[in-house]
Amino acid sequence: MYKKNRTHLKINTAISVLHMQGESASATDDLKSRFTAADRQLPIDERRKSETLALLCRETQSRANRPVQNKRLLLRNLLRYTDRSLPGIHILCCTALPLLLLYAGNRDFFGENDAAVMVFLSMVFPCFLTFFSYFELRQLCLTGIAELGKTCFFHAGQLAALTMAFSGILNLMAVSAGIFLAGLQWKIRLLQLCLYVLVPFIFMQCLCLGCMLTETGRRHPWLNAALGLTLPLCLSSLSQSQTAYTEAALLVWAAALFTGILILAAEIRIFFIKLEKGDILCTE
Amino acid sequence: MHRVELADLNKTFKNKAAVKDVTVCLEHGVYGLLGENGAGKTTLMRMFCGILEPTSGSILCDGMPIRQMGGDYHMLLGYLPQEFGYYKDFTALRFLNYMAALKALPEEYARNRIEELLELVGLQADRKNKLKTFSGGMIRRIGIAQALLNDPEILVLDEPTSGLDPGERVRFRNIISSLGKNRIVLLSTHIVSDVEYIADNILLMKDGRLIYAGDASRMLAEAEGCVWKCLVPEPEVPALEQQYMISNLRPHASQVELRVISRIKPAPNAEPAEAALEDAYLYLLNKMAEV
Repeated sequence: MYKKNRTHLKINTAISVLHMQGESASATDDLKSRFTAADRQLPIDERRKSETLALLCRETQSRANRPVQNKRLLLRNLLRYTDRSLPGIHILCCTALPLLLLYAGNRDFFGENDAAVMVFLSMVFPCFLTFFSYFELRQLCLTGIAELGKTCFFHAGQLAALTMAFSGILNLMAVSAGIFLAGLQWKIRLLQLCLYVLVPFIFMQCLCLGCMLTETGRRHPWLNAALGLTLPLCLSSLSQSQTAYTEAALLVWAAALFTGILILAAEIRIFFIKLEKGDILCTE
Repeated sequence: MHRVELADLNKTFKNKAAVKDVTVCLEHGVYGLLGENGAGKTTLMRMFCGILEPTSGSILCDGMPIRQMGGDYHMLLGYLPQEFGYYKDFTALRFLNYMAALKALPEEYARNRIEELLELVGLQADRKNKLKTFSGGMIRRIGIAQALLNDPEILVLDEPTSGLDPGERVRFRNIISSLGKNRIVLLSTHIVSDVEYIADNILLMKDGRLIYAGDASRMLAEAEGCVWKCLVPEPEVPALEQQYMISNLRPHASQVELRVISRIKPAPNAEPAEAALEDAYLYLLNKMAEV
């Protein structure tokens, strides 16, 4: 450093002398050559040079793998590589429900009880579709994929929310179509029909998510299936009852729907809290 | 380079304490986490990665709680679980692309990195084969590749060499060792020799507690004078096995050569032997049991 300062001091002195003497272009050339000579004398620390190079390389690399900020691009990349087999079957099933009801309605398939059977079917099918949703969620959360995901940019909660939103929308679309088609057969108010179809649908969601929330339910997928079979059986016995579908019972149906929605909302909240804490992901 | 501090970390599942009062600070280098099955290694690693929330205590990365860092911490992290989840119908290439998408890596970078890593783990020829056709060792290798996708500065590997054949194990040991130069590598294993070769520091867990944290030489020093070698007649072996910790047993003509871990001389003809890391590991575990 001392050496460098001394060299610059000499150059500065030379400049001032040259200025004083009013020398021209040749003097400037002389100055340049002196600067070059002075630069050559500056010692280059090879160790520091390689350290700086390594630092630059690291910085360049860290910039290269910096996460993508564009949300559309992120989602596109994820959807491009994500598993499409289960959602594919789910979409097929969701399409099959309205088509089946349409076919049955056109052909007068069930005879005199056509409307009642169609309503029953549109109550049972959404329950069946709910299975798919939870099977997809199980596959994500309980097979270790979400555990890996929890250490990534897209965390487990976001992946689960994406799966739930996708299958939820599909199910709702299928249920709506079911309600519409059953409504064509059974001449009752649409709101009334909505209640008949949505109550079992919501309770099925509650049962499946409830299973995911308990350690036993997570360990034994057959428990989920057993509960899922019980509900259509209950519905079947309910559909035999004449009083269940009277206008007087509507208040009970509405109360059941409201309770179901409250339970489901609470379960979803608990599910995401448990997911965040890792309790669901780390089932051995 | 980063610094991760674990302070008074506890994790309780229902009534069972899986991790108890773990306090340790990790800077760059390879840390070998040793312990018996159920000692709490996986739980500790899961908390370290932010997968499990501790019941109490804190994990700080460069002085900041990892919960607060969220995605920023995940960007530093590479994790290989003991048994990792994958879609069986995915090809190796698609799985790595899926993981790159989850890690939000830019496409161009991901493409090049995946090719590099497939070569590193020796799976380039199988890149288009489905994962369901892979052997256990190949799955392990693809797991290691996904952990390295984002060139992590903190690498957590739970039993990385299990299921690998001896040749692959040596290769991976060397890879892990080279990675530890400028990053934190925390690896758990049952294979003491793996740790002996690559770990700069050893963390030893028993019943959820961290009973030792330090380098291998200090660990060996702990067991100094407590390792014995002796030749005994075969009928005497069961009695000695009940009384002492036997680290090795080898038939030798009509007798049996024993390697005994004990503070006292186990047999009249026993001679002191130089402690190996495995002896030190057994000694420390046994010492804690006595306490």
